[in-house]
Amino acid sequence: MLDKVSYMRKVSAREFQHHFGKLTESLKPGQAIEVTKGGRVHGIYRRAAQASVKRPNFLEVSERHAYSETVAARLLKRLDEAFS
Amino acid sequence: MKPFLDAGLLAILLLKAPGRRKAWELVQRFEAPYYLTHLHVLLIEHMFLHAKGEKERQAALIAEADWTRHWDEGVFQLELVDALAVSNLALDLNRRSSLHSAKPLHYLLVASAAASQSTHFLAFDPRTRYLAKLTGLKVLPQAL
Repeated sequence: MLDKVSYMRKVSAREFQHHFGKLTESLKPGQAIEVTKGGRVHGIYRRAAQASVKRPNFLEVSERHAYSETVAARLLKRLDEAFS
Repeated sequence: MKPFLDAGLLAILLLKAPGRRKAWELVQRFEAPYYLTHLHVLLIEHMFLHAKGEKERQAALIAEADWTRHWDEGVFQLELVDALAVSNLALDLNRRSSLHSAKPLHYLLVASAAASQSTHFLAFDPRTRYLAKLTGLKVLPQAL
C-alpha cells in the first residue's frame, strides 16, 4: 500500500528526462517523485490532481462487507489507540 | 469547498461501522476527489495492520481492498502538505487549546487540514472538532 499511495520514488534527472512520459504516466494524480542530480534531491515532480472523479457509494460498498458492526467497532478502537 | 476528513470519520466511511450512514451523508455534500495526507495513510494503515484476531484481520482485509481501489480510481488523492506549516500550526494550536484530552496527533490532523486550505472539517470526534473550530474551519456535522 505504501508504495502505491505515499512512498515517493527517486529518479535521476537523466532518467526523468529520458523516460518522462512513462514515469509521469505511472504516477497517480497527486502522487510525486523526487528528481535527483548528483545523488541529491534537486526537485519534486507532482502529477496534477484529477479535477473530477465519480464518487463511489461508500455506504453501499461497506454494507456488502461480510463482518459484523461489532468487529468494525473493534477495528475502530485500533485507530483510537494510535491517538492515546 | 474543500473538505478534510478526520481520520476517524474516514475509517467509519471505509468500514461497516456504526455511524457510517451519517458519514456517508456528510461526504456526499462534497464532490470527489477527496484529498488525503500522509497522516491519513499512516493512521488508516496502522488500523489495518494492528487488527487483532482472525475476525478483525478479515474485516481489515476487506476494507483495505476498498481503500486500495478508491486510490486506484482517484477517489482519494494524495495532498502534499507543507510539513513546516503543519508543525507551526500544530504548535500554535497546542498553545491555544485548553482541551487537555487532545493528543499530538489530533493537533497534527487539524493543522494538516488548515495547511491544506480546507474549508470544512468533517469529524465525529469532539477533540478534533474543538481544534478545527479554533482554526476557523467549518465543522460538520454542526452538532453531534
